[in-house]
Amino acid sequence: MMAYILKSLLKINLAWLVFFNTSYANIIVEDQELDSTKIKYFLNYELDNELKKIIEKGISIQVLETTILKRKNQYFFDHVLFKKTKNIKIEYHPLIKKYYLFEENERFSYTELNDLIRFINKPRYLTLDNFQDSKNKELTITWEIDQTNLPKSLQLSLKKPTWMIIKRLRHNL
Amino acid sequence: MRYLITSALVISLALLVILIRSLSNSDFISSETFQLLLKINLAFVVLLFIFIALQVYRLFKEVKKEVTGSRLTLRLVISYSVMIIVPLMVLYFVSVNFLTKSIESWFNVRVESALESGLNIGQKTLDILRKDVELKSRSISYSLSNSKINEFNPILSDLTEKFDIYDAMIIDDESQILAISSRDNIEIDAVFPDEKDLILANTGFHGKIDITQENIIYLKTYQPYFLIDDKIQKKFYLILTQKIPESISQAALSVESVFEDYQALTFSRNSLKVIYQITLSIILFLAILLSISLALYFSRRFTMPLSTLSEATQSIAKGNFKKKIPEQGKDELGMLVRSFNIMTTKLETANKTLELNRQRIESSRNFLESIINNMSSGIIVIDPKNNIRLTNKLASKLLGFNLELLNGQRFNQILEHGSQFEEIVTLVNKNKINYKEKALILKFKRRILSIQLTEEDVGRNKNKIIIIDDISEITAAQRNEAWSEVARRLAHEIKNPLTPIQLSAERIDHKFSKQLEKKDRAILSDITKTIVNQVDAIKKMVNEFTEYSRSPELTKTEINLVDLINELVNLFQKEDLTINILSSSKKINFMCDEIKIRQVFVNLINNAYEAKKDDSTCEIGIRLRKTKSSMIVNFIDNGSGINDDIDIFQPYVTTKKTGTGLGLAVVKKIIDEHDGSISIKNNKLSGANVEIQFSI
Repeated sequence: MMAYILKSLLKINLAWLVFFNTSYANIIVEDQELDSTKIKYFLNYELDNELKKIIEKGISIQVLETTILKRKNQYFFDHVLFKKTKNIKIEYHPLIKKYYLFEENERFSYTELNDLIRFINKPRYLTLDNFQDSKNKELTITWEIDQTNLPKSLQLSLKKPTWMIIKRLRHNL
Repeated sequence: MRYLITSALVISLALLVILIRSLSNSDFISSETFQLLLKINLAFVVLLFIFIALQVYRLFKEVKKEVTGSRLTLRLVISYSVMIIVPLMVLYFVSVNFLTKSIESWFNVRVESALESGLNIGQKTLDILRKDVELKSRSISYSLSNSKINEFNPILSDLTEKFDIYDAMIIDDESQILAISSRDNIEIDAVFPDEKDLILANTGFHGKIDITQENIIYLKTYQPYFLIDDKIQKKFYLILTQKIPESISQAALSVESVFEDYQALTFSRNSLKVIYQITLSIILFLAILLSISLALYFSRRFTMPLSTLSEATQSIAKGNFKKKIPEQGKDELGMLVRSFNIMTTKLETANKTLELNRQRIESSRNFLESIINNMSSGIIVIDPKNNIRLTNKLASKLLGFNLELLNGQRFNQILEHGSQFEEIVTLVNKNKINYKEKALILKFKRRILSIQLTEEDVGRNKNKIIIIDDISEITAAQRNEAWSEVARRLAHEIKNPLTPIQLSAERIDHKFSKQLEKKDRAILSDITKTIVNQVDAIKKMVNEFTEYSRSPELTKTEINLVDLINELVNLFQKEDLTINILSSSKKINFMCDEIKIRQVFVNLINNAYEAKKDDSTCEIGIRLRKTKSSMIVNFIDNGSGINDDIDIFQPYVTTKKTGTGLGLAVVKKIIDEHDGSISIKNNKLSGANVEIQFSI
């Protein structure tokens, strides 16, 4: 019973975060085969002005993309079936006036920040294996700033919600 | 409470130490642990505040209930708190101001512009280098455009060496590598141009500055050119890569890194201030709350002995002298407690002695009261202020009202119970008692009271003592004795000549009546009859005197009083007389002299009959009762009653015109001879009630 109450509270908390931060986001199940399911997801993220300023001052920011697939239980905590974390680094060199985006060992450079944001907002794909039973499963994709990789002095202002890029994309499969 | 405050003190100090230490470590400040620590401290402040609020509320409740020492505790708490809070607040504001100023001083405008200038220098340097490479690129491409394709490699090698170019490459518009020149053995893929760059270079020169992941800055230029002799006008691209010298690159990157750090610090400037202010505020609150806790604790500890002392004093005031306070320390309070305990011990001893003395006095007083109450005289003690101090029961009985009700009141108030006491009041009110005036006789309700006034011999304020004696019986006895003597003499001296007088009168009548005429004979007869009758009357009176003066020689036999009274009633058969007998039994035996008791009853019935009102029927009720210890006979009539002011049982006291006044005196004498008592009182409506009481 206690676990159920805690779970309900968590849900409320997460829902608040989603509505507060997401301008637009979606997860689309594109192709569901016998042994795998192809997921398409995308954000429509507009960079916060303050964060834009931070980046333009040469402070690099790391974003953590966390993908969690859970089997939902009625009373107990959900069972995590799949969890994957991806690092995306945004960097600006004022010396050479260039923006860089690092994603999965790849580096992309941009002269304009908007080009970088467009790249972030492009549709992304994920393939989940062994995914036949789609009942009571929830897929959550979260984007958030990796606070630990920010400069130490900047971490003081961590709790400002405008600095957070949290996108919790939910899709009941 | 002590343990609670100690725990709070230890925890808060530990939390403060951790918090302050964490402030010196920037890594720690930024971590979640620091924020958790802040929250814990804040929670602790709230808990401490609740605890103090409860304590203060309790203290106020105690003050409202007027608990001993609570007001002093409150006053001390307020004083201590003010003493602590004021300097702490000053310290806090100075610290906050100092910290804010210090943080602001980090962000000096000159530092910021210096860093920006450094960055600009780096950018300009890179620009200059880029332009240099651009010129070189244009020069090399010009040389190449005047050559042939097969000459590309040697020309490129010569020129790159000549212009000190790091890497060079020539590709055609189909991205075919035509020539390459490099100082190091490079991988083709690594230096191969980006498609986007080639597109940009399609219209003309394109150059860019880039940085590798190993932080090496390099310049890359794309210069399209055509061969002059080529009629097809095939496009070639000269791609030059020039590494920025390491000394310049490292310096520029270092400036960039510092600039980045500075900017990060600038962004957190306000947050830093807030963090320090919050930390200082928490320290302030913890310090204030702990100080108030300590103030509460020490105030209570300080006032506790005083409270205990006050409670003990109240207890002693209520008479509990056994109250002792546990001794505490050797300071002034401890000394006070010891002195208090010594005082209570002495008070207890004194009180015990006092109690013992009081018991003795009480015992003496009871003894005295017992004596006074059992005295045959009435006693009234009057204090120097003329207030009644002590009386005995007999005094109340003799004066006819309850004197105990006047105890402690002015003696003059006895006048409210009758003007007959005026003489006594006058006697008492005299300051100096003359020996001759010390006694007076008061006739009151058929009693003769002897009033004697004396003074206490001891002390300056002398009490007056009134001694009241009932001398009625003594006076009566003296009078009886006197009357008996008179009666005896009268009987002896008068009775003897009476018979010759009577006989002589009868002889005169007998001898001279025949010699006189009828008229004179009648006169003589009347005169002699008068003489005879008067002599008979004198004889009767003398006989009564004789009877009264006769010495008591009783011949007691057991008789039934009911029969005796019935017999007497039969003798008194008159039209205007009704006698009712009420007896508790038909037979009430009594040892007595029958003749004398018969005389008593006859006298009483005669008296009742003679006291009847004119033209009315005399009703007499005779009631006989026998109890375990006495036998009581009542004669109740409906006559005119008696005069309360005279003692009707005294000889020669009568209210009748023809009575000798000896009838009731003889009755009382006979009753006295039978060890009985007789009393008479008026009925409520009419008539009198004579009660005779014999002891059995």
